[in-house]
Amino acid sequence: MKSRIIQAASVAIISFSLLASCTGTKLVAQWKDEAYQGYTTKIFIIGLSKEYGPRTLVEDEFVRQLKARGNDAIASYTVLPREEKQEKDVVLKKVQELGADVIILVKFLKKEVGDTHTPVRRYAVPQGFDTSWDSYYGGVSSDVGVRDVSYDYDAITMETTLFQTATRKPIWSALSQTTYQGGPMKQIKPFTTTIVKNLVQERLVR
Amino acid sequence: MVTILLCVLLVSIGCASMQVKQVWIDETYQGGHPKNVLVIAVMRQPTTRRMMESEFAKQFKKQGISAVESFRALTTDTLEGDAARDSIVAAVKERGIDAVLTVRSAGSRIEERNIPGMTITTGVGMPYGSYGAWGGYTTVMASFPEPSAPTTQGYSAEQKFLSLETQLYDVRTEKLIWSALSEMRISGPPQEEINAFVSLMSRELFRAKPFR
Repeated sequence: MKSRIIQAASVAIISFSLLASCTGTKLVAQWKDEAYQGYTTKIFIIGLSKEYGPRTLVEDEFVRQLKARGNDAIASYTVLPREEKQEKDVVLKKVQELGADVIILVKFLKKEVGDTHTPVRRYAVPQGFDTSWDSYYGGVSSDVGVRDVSYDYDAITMETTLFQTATRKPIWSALSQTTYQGGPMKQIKPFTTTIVKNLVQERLVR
Repeated sequence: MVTILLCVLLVSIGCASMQVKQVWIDETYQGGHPKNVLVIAVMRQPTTRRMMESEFAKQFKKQGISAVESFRALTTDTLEGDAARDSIVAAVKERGIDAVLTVRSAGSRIEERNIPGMTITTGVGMPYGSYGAWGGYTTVMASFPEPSAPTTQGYSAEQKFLSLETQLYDVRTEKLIWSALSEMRISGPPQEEINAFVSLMSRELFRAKPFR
């Protein structure tokens, strides 16, 4: 009975550890133009998505987090028409009119489905050691086993690029991977937090 | 313990994550040391392209050679299709480039590895019993209920390998002067290997004839 409880607890701990270590957003690649010395004053956010809903959610979250840190930011959906796809020059003209000196472009690249599998392992412990001194000599076998642990997850790869409006050149870009279970919308906030945190570390935003 | 350490050492030597498979040098090259190199990484994702090109540019600059990353001179769309050559030629003329370094993918392969199950049997009296003097020790220990040996289940795992081809062209003759084929083992995002790859390629390149 006791060993079954230990087994169940081990499976639960390992599953939790795997989930905790494999979910969330991590930057898998990051590039910065070392020659860039400027500092941003107003940021224009563009979420490149065919779907209007996710686009507004991503842009709003970036604006919220950037403003909370004292930056000035504006979401593209609030100033660009929803219906038609805008030409690059039209967007740039609008950005310049608004006085934004940098553009953050968030682009969805791909979604993958993966699974994590940990094969069975058995750890040996002295028999009966967990119950009483007497049962140490009891001769009852008690391996603590860890059963197969596996679960499915989704992984979204995004590319975020910071462009300088005046030169139209990239200043910083990153590839990120967000792994999760369940709905992707819940990942918008932690994804944005990771990106903004890195932009702050690189001294590109406040 | 020593056996385990030896095994780990041998495995790590045998499975270097990155290696140069082939290097070719034009032994007849007489063009002298390149002084201004255009670096073009033909990569699908702009971030990967920038990382690769900037890292190579950094290595060239360490050697006192000027280098221009292609993303500063050529947009991604100008590198596609038949017009790519004309775009590169224009950038080369405009910036006074005398050599072009290109990096591109040369394919990938997947290797399946079977990891057999293991039972670790070191412990109770085993290594000492053969010496005779410790025979009694074995007997004493055997009177205790032995812990059973830890075991792992066998499993198979896929290992991905990515090949990259790095080439150096002389602008004056438009001929290939150096080429290397390398392969790296990918265990996470391939971008994590960029710095190590550029470092390895730079070592090979800078000891080759055009730079000696």
